[in-house]
Amino acid sequence: MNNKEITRDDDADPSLDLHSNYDSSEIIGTWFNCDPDTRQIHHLSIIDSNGELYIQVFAALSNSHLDWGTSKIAPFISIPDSNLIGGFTCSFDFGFMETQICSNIKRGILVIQAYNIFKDNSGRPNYYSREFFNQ
Amino acid sequence: MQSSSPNSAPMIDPKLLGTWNNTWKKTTEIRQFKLIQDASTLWMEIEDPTSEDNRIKRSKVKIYTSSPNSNKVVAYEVTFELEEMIAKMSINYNKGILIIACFHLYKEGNHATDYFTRQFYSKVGQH
Repeated sequence: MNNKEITRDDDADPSLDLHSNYDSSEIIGTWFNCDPDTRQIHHLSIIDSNGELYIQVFAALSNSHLDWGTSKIAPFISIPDSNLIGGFTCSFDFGFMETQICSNIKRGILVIQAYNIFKDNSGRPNYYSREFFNQ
Repeated sequence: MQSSSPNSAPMIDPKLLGTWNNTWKKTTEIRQFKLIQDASTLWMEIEDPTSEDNRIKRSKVKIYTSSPNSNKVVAYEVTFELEEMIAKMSINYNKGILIIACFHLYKEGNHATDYFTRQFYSKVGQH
């Protein structure tokens, strides 16, 4: 008998009991922004280090790239497909601002949604971006 | 409905011209195509996946602006008459990606079901 608590039907999807490990094969590697004129993230790399996934981001900044450093990824599968990672979240804290990233993969495209929060009382409004990346 | 005339001819974004690859390596649809401009006409070239020799097909691309009085091109439409089917494509560009919605209409005598696909393409040589 399954007595696990649920909040919606998908919480009880049988596929969730089948897969204990994530398959990261589709997201590992370097991804480039499809828009050459982007003013957001230029490219990023996703690596597996001892079973943990990390992202390193390089942002577009005055015709060069700013290395944001590395952040650990929280992976998610897309039920009921398989144990393939279908999306992830991560965040970067720059002190004066924070960027929270939600991402999903669709047909070879990595979609990055970035929620940018200013913490410096500069009056700048928090803003959102959505961009597309391929390998 | 809006009705007025644009100040100048519709402008085809040069970023569109070139070779585009399907972003999904496992696709069974069009893997690659080219967009070519000849004077003010935009052409699309694909390999006919339904022909035995994958022959190249070229078709004129119809362009659409964002409003009747705009010269900003935002969407495209093209039809290919292939060996086994007619492929009607609606195309739009978004942040470096060409999105192709395609209606596949089989010719008479073929009993396969007409079908619809939506595929994503990125430009070759961008990085």
